[in-house]
Amino acid sequence: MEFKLPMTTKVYIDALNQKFNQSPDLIHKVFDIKGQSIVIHFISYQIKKERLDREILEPLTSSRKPWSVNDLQNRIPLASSKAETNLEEIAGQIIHGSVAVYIEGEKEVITYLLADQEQRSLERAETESLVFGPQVSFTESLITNLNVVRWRLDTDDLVMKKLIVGERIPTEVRIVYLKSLTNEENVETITQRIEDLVVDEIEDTSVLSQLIEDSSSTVFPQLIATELPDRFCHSLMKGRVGVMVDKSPTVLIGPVSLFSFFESTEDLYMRWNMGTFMRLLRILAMMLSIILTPMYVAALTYHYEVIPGSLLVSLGQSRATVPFPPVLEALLLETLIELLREAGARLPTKVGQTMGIVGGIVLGQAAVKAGFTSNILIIIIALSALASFTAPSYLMGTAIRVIRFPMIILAGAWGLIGIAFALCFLVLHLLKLSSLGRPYLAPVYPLSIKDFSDSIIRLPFNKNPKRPTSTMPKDPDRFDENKAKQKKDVNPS
Amino acid sequence: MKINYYVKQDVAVHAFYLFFLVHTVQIGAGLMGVPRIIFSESGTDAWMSLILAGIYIHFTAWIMVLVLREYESADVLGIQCDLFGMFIGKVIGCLYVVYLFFLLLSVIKNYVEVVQVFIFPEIPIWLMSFFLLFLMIYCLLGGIRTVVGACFIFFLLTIWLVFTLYKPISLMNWDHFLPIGQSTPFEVLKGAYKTTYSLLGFEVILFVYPYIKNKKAVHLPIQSAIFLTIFLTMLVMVVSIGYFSPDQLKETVWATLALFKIVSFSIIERFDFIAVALWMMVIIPNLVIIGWMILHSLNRMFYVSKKKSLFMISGLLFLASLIIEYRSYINLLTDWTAKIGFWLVFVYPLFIYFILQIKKLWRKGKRA
Amino acid sequence: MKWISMTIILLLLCAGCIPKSPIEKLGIITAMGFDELEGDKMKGTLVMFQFDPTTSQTSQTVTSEAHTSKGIRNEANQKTSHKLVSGQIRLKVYQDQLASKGLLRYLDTVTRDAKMLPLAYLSVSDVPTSQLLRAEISEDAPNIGKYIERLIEKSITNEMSPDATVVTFLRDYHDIGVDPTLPLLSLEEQRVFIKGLGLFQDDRYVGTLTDEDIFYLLLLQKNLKIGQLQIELPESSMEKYYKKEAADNETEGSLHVSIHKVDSKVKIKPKKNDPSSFKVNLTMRTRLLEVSKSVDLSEKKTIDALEKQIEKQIEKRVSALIQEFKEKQVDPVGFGLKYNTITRKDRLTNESWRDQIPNMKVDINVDVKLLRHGITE
Repeated sequence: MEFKLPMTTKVYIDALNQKFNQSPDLIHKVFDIKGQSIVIHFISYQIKKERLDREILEPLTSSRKPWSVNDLQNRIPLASSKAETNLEEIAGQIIHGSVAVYIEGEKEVITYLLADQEQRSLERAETESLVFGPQVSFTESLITNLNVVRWRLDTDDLVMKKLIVGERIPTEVRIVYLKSLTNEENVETITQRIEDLVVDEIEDTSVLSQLIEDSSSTVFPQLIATELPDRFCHSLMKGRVGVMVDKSPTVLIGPVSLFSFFESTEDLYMRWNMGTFMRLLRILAMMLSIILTPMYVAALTYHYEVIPGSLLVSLGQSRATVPFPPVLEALLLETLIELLREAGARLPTKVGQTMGIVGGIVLGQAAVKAGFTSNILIIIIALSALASFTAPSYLMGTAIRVIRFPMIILAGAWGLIGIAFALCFLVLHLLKLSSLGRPYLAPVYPLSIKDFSDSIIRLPFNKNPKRPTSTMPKDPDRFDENKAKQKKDVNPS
Repeated sequence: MKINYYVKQDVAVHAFYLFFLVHTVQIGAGLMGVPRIIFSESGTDAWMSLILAGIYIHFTAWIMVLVLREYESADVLGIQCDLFGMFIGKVIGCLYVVYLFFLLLSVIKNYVEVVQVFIFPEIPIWLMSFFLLFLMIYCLLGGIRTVVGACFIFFLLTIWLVFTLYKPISLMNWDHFLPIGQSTPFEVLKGAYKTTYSLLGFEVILFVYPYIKNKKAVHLPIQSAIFLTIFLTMLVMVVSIGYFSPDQLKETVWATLALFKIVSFSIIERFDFIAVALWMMVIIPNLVIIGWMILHSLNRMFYVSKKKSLFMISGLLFLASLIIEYRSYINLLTDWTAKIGFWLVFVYPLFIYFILQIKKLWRKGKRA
Repeated sequence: MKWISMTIILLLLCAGCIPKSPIEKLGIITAMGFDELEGDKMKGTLVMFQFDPTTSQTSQTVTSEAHTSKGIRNEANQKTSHKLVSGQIRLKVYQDQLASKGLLRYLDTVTRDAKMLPLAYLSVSDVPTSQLLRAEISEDAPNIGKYIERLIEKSITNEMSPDATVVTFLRDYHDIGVDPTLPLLSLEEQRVFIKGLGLFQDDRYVGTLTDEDIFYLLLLQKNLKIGQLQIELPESSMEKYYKKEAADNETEGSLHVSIHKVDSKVKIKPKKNDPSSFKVNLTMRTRLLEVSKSVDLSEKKTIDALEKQIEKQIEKRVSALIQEFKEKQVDPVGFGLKYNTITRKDRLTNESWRDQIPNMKVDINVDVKLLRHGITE
């Protein structure tokens, strides 16, 4: 049946009912005002009923004159009113929480957005919690998130480009950046990639990130997904582009480099020397995490010569009772740790902690006592697991833990040569990666010594007047260096 | 084939990276054994040979740049075709490719040999070749940007090995150098000639020049790269002479790596194992740069697609590395590569320069 | 295509596995001793770690007989269930009779086999090593090899004995004009101790140096930093400087002076074209630790006199030491090497220097400075 206004109320109601598959949720009310038939459609739980009563129904029923579309728009002047003629559009509006008003005989339907969404309020960040600094995290509501970002970056420079992605379930995606700062190339790249997407649905930001990343075969994330507004806004201030997706509490940041994943905004809130120490510590931890267990496996399987004399006896004694070769032993324990982590993550927080104790202490102790593993390996594995959790980005931490497995196997098969091969491969792989077309290993390669000041290390703010060049910002200066040096103290002496 | 070769701006390389390109291609398999080779010619005065060789290389690199600057954006392949005509130019180009192929092969063979002697006598040759070629292919598929990046990063990742030499330095006996000048000038010259193999590779300038973004600034990175190479070789040379007694040094094939043997840390007893494994990172830049030069030459001269020639060259290298088994064959291969390299890299650029000057004069005369 | 290449790669890699040798399957030799047997044979004693699940006893000692060093290992391999490996050997002890026939043939494997540790210590023993390496250890060391290794290491770092690693030995052996030395171990009441220093002609053990003389050799060999020394001065030498109140009731006997933190510099000056004449300049800056009699140290001239006496005594001892070297025709100091550094023509060879050693004339000049003398005056 063709939907063409004007039509009688009955036909109109039928048409909408059919569109909504006779849904019991779609409520329609017919008013007869001065011989004029007016139909109102809405979905009961999608709208704020008080507002409907107060702002629409009351004026509508108390009027003495007959209504027309123009009257509606003039006399019930809600900001969100829209005139629609298309059934698809009307249905879409209703789904999103609009009230559709149709006056029999008119050519347009007026919709008012009175949406009422169930949502949680702003809460503390869970996965990226900070000890020190802003605690708030994004929520699932795009509107709230936009609101938070606007609140942090209250400038008209802030652009929030809107895109709709998803064939079946359209989802709103926002590309956020600072216009006078961000290089258009980055914005265009990311816009293009999102526009080119042909997908059914975007479940979450991380799904979008996987869809638009440069390389999908690698384990390394190429866009930062964060739930922290301060991290997001800080990145925008560096000239990066942000992507926000409706219904997702995480947001994307790009282009980024490998080292961005080891930066936490906490480093900014601490003094610069502590921040630098933390960043270096995390990078060191990553290296240790990758190299320790494979080295153990290689040394014990092939290269007994490299074991220092003082360690030889204790290593040998603890190995003597273990029935497996070192590779298997290491893989077993690594898997055990992964299991513990996974179980801890799936369980509620309180039970999760107990899991940690049971797994860590009881299992570990028992495994050593039973001669199942050597206690030195337990120390090494625990150390490298710990190290991998220091990465502020959860995805990067996971990536580090995953690449350990092939490295252990290579170390078990060809000892130090296997490790060297794996490391070379890793470096070459990282070299070939890019994030939105920008090099992944910046600022190390391409080398830009100035960018070190706020990536691998962190210099004091007043010594750091330049934005990182790896994102090619339009405005390379944060502030005037010379002006910042002048301090107009009231000098008591 | 066009004389000049222009590249897109986004694949062009900053002149700064020439430093790493030139340095890392020079340091590699040669450095492992250079002390003995020079020492066997010029004895405790080997350092003199090295200084002599160093000066000559600085000079040759300078001439190379002068030659390249005569053209707008050309490499040696284009220049020789311009000078000697297409046919002869391409023949010399092929000679370069063959030489580079043998250089690549000798690098692989030498490293595999070292691994077998120092870490794993049991490791099969084909496996090591496979590892190295796999990394080479993986890197070369990324193009010139990845090649340059690999040189840069691997340089940073391995240069600290120099500092572990402090231990052998502390055990040096300076009396080994005295008295200065025991060998005849001819022996010193011969020693300088023997440095060829370990210092080869800086001919990369002749190939990579069109890719340089700021062509005016190439002198400094090239010369400093060569200086660093000479410095490191000198360091290793001097430490080896001081550390080993003359008779020992004559018997020690890989004196550089033997120096690492006495380095030990509290968590690693034998550093030579780590050093030999890490040496893979020193070898990779060698492989990728030389491999890139081969691919580039083939692509320039015969328009072979780089991917196709990459897999073909790798296959050939793999087979060749299996065929050569005895140490003596490897030495033979190294010697011959050094001999061809000497003429192609140390003499030929001077010749080109000479011809260019004559041509210039001739043109001037004609105009007048 | 991708899958095919992946499978091929995987298959290849599976084929490329290397025989594994996990540490618990190994008998890791840490010390080896060699004794002489009749004929060409020798007896080897191997101290090794092997790790068994049932026992906490990790150290094992195995003895075997063979013609070569590797042969001993192979022979010993038959006597244990673990695979014997030599990459962690840190100590090799040779019985004196064996050492006097030349050590080089036992060291050849060390230079050729890249797995051998070049920093292992070598030493000579005047008791059969099979006894030495079965001695009891009272200290907390994992095994006897480790104990002896620590013993030698300590005396080297404390500047009580010259370096005794394989590299140093081989370098001194190969260098012309210098002879190697090795510590001499012995056994006393089931305890191993360093008895003295073994002197070598090339690689042949020819004699020993007593414990006290080692320090004077070290003084000549290199610059010291932390050495210490006890000197015996004649009874009358410092009589004038005794403290007045104590001068009368001094006990009889010679005066003993103990100095420490010896910071010495040595300069050996060879003479051009005369390999038999050398000039040695020794400067020592040191602290006085102990004087056996109450000498009045508050006055500068006392110190000067004491310095003079010590210088005289050191000169005497050093010349006596060199006399001993001349008699034994050894040159552990490296006078010949020094001569060669200024000679282009007619350089010394090993044989010519050996013949020259008895004719050597060394002019010694010692300069001692006592900088501090403890917390009392």
